[in-house]
Amino acid sequence: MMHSTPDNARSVLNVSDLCVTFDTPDGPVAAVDGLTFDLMRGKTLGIVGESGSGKSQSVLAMLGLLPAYARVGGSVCFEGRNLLRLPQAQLAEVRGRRMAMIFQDPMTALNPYLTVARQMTEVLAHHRGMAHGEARRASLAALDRVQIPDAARRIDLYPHEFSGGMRQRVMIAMALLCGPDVLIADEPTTALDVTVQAQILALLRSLQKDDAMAMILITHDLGVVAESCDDVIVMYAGRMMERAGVYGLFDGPSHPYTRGLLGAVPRLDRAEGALHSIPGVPPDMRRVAPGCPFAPRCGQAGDRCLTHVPAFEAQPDGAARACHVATADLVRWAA
Amino acid sequence: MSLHAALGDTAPTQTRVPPAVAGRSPLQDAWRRFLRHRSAVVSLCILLVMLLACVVGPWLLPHRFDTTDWDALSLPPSWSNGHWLGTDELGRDVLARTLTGGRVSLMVGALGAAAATLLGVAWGATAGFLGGRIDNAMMRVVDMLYAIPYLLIAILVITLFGRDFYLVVLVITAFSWMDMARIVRGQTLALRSREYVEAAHAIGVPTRRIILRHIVPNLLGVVVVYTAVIVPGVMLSESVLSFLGLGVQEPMTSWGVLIQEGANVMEATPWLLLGPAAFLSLTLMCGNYLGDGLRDAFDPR
Amino acid sequence: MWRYALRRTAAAIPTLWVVITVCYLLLHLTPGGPFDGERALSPAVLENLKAKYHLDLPVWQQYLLYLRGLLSGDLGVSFRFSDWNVNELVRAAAPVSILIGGVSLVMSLTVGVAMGIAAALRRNSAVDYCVMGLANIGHTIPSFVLGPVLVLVFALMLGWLPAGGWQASDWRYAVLPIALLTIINMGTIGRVTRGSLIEVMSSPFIRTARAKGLPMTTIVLRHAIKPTLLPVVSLLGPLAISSMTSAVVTETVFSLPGLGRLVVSAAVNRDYTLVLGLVVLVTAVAVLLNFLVDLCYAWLDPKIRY
Repeated sequence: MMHSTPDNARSVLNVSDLCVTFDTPDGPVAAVDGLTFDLMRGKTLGIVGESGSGKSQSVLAMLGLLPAYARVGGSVCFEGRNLLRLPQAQLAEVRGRRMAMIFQDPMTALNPYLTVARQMTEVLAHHRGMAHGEARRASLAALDRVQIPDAARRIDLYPHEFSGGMRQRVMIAMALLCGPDVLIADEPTTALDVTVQAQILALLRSLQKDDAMAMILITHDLGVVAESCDDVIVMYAGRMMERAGVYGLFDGPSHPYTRGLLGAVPRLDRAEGALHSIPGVPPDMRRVAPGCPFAPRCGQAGDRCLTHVPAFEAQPDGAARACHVATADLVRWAA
Repeated sequence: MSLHAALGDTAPTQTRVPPAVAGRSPLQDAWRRFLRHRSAVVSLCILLVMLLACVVGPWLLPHRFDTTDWDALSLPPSWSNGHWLGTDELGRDVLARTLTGGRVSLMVGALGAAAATLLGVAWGATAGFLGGRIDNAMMRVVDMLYAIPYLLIAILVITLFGRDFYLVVLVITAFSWMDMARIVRGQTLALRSREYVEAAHAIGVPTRRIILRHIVPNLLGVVVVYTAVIVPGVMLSESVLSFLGLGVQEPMTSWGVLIQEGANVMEATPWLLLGPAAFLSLTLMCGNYLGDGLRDAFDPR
Repeated sequence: MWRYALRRTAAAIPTLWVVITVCYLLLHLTPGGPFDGERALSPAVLENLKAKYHLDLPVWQQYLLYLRGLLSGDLGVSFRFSDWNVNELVRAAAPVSILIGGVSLVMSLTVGVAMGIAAALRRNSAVDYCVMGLANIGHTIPSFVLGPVLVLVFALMLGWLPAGGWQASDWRYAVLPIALLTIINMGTIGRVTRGSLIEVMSSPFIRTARAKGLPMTTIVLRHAIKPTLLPVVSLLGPLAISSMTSAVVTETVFSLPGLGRLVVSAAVNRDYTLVLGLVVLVTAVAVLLNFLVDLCYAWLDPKIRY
């Protein structure tokens, strides 16, 4: 379903009501429920949430990479086609070529039994029909672009012979070989040192700018969001809690969960006592309680919050959220 | 300013406590998983029936295993005359002989497996716990034994020293304990460096307590699984030796012996081969399925 | 890669030596000599025989003489077949065993791996159950049960193939023995391959390969195959050793003039040097096979090459 917004002409990916349900021995578990957004060309969308919030599952579902016991509903429109309904053959053409994905831990995400050269040239050979020599040259160029020194020698090494940061660069180079329109990055910096994180994020931003590529960045780190994203979706227990532009989100979060997340970030510029945290734990997805999933932990939950799921609605300021408590009634936010 | 105050909440939080999940011990978990394997459960039942039949059967059958009946030579199986699996060339009832042979085969299996398990666990646990050079040396011995073609040595030893029942069990045991030793050593090594063992050690729990409370219960899982795997292996070894004429001696008989005798006359009287062969194959197959089920129950992937 | 394999082999030399020594001691220190079963020989003839075969020397001296002979490749002289030496006997019997063993190993590898892959990719389907059922039969039914049954069906009832014996010129004598060994081994290989591939397919790097849009054939045959085969290769060592056991049984069932039967008859006849020679030979072959397996392992897994 295409949204008839004025930005339609520049949107690359339209996701509508994406739902992922797993059939487990304990019954069906809704890992993702009702994810909806439009991804704009050249922009970065950040999806933030705790572990188990469904952020990784949603992007895996988009590319059809979930196991067979997952049931996916809704629509993911790319170039006028719903990816969720495409036959495998056509979906495989989109994957790697028009939409690419990089994963969290490059050590396990790269095949330890094949050389980097092999893993890169095969993408070009398959999607672009390149001959071996040409593919190798293109791969070397890609490695140079991600600033791998001495690429000509390194390309014939195995992944375990690279450092963590370089491995992630290799993954990025590999993903960008065919010039995709959308890059999905699933926690690309989580497994890396902090200093390397900054380098990788900067690299991603510059590559994105060069190619006018759209990016979806999954992370649990608000710092990464602040640095790299244009728009943000906050997820909790598989549902969207808030969707806003990055500045709007950090200036004035309009959902108690987002406020809790931001409040939990330690500050160096203020003297504080103990570290804050949101009380309680994320819900057990096998036993879904009625009402807003965040209600048990929300300091402002009312009776309605425990019984009725709040609808995800647009706000006058352009953001959108799912909460019963009126924005005006939310406790004053001190940024 | 606390978060609660910032969010305007001065009353105790309305945090709803999620309903408690009923606790399940690892043993109950394992039993539940085991029950989900139909093939393993069925195998267990069949094995129990087989055990019962071999132990009690020979007393209940109308014919004894060694009574010769010159009027009933080499009869094919039939319901009417009570010889359900037929008779051999001396008129002896095949079913009775098979069940009696089963006693020997199962006993060798049980004894051999018990001995191999004890030896393997002792060796492996010691090596794993002591570590270092002693561990290396002990595992070198295991590696050596792996490289030796066991049947040749078995043939040699039995030919030299005669076909004594306990010697046969000994020889088989000598080459069956290595798998268990390796597995137990691996487990012990892993357990020894687990955090909770280190923690116990740091608090000052005596070593013996650590072994008994932390290491042994965790070893039970693998030991049970691999014992179930060793038994068919031992039975198979005994049968091979018997088939080659190097197993138990008359008047004792085992499935291996019966199969060999049956193979010699199978053109004329195939039931002499097929009866014991079916029993042995069924037992081995059930043993394997049971082992698979147990392995999944205790260590699901 | 070579250094790794050589290092592992060097560790096996002591094993070989221990085996030789233990066997030697077993043979020489037990009651009964090689000439005891013969019709009573006059003491003079006995003396001469003993001197000829150095049996009158103390055991340790005989042992050293034997070792010296081994190092120059001489396995000694057979007591029973006094016109032949062990080397010649081995050379006569080896081709049969090597042919049957080699062909069946190659076939069981090919068929077993193919079966395992097919079953893993169509998990829990009819194909999976059929293939694994077949594998289980081969894996659990002992060779000395399946062998006679095969003979019963194909030779005695259907009459298509000979029941036993050997004629080098006629290929039909090789069919049943090779079939037996193949069925036995392909079961184990099939099970291991299936389990291994299932596990490999849930690896993160397979997910990456899928995300790259590669076709399933490429993913299985290029990305998954090496880690899948690793457990199979490590199975080859014990499998090779157990095929020597299977060889003894197979050659007994089908009356083949191979090394297995030679071992059994040598043991029964207390033919010292023949038994010893065969044990040495078999153990040496086992060491060589393990060396080759280690090489394969290092070739498949780039992480363990150093």
